[in-house]
Amino acid sequence: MEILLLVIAVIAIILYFLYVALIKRRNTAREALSSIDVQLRKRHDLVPNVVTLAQKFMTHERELLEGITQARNLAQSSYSRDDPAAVAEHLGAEAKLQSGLMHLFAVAENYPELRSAETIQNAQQTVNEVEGHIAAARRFYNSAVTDLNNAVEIWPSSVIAGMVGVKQMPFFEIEDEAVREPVNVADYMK
Amino acid sequence: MADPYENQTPAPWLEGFDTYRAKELDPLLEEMDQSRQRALAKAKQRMMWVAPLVLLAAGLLWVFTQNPMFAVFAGFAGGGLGYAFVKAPFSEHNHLVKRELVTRLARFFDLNFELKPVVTPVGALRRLGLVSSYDRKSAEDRVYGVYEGVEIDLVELHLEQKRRSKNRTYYVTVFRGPVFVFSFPKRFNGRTIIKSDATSVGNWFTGVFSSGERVKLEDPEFERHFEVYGTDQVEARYLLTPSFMEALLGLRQSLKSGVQAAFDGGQLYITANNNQDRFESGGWSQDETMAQQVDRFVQELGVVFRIIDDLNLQSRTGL
Repeated sequence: MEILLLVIAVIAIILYFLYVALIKRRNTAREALSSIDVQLRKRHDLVPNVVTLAQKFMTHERELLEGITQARNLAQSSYSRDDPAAVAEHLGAEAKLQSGLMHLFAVAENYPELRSAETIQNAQQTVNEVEGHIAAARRFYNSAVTDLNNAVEIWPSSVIAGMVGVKQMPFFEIEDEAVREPVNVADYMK
Repeated sequence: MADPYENQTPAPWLEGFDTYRAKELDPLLEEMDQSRQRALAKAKQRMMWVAPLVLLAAGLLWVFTQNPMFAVFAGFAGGGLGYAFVKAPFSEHNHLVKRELVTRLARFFDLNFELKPVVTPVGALRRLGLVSSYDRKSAEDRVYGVYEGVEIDLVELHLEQKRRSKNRTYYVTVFRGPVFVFSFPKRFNGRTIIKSDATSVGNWFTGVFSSGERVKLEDPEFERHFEVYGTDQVEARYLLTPSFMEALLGLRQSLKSGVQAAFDGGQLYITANNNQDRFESGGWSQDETMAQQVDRFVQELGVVFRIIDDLNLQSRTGL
């Protein structure tokens, strides 16, 4: 009887530690998601300035500029961090915004006045740095999600995950091949 | 020294170096080679009469005192003094090497040279856990200046711990090698420390006593050799770009040592405990010619400059 109780106690302790590890990983992933949002907010704050500046020179690119503004609005909308599908949608909207911005800088190549404007040169520097921070936050997030997803998929913690409702989270992937390369706005503004 | 960037196009800061080297350094290297040959001849000449003299003196002491232990002790003491006397010409030659060669070399890169620096970064290195505790320190061969708005400071540091045995006190080297300090205009929010991998148990202890959390990076090669701890996970990854990680791996491989680094405040510190002394022209034998040492130093500087270029932390954007 004592042996049985001992075995049950040992199993209970192991299950508890598995549970703790799982929740820690989920919380780290959430923290990483918050870090991404902090960095993405910097990008969102930059977009209106870049768009306003671009509008002065890029009069024939109304559709593109409107698209960027819409992508920003979509990316800024609130979402549930507990819902993997909502997180995936949010990250997808961000990827579209980044893609739009890259397209804008590529098109800006055709506008020499815009390229030479001092304000846009300052914006270039800031955008470069923001994109560097976003890339770093994405690496942190994807690393945390890898740990979480491994724990959710691999037995025996997968059993605990099923019991307490911890789910896999989506990776922050870059869908657009054009934005897979490290962003250097200066390349587009030469 | 293997250059981690060797496959890249020639760096702009090396432009004109070959001409400068041919005009300013090669004649000096030739002169130094002759100076070393003179020092070697002088040392050999001294050796010819110092060694027999010491042996003779020890033998006479044995005969007159009838105390073999005293004679052996006196022989060792005399031998030590004699060796210092014999090696003295090399010491003079070494000073010429450092004063002239390194000053000229540093001048090409708009850097300065100081043979015996007064101020060292050892306090910061201790605080960051990059070097062990010590009882005695010395520093030499400081090369410093500014590159692309970033202050750089390279110094060779020697730290020793005092030990006691039954009858005597002696010193053991705990760190000897180059220290690189970069001062960026921009301050870092957190602290990122890159420690040499110390196997599972060692890493566990390091983690327990570390002020930051472990930062897991994607590069398996880097992860095999280093353990990273940071107080800001995002900033740590912002600073540890793939090219920076590659540079550290290259430094580790070329310096054959436990390279460690830390970002703190506005500074990046890199240490390499490789028990080597730069710009020593050797004594009786020479492991590396001065020309090879010049090449090695230029490559080291190349890594320094490229780290600055890659990190691109000079600008102030207010973020």
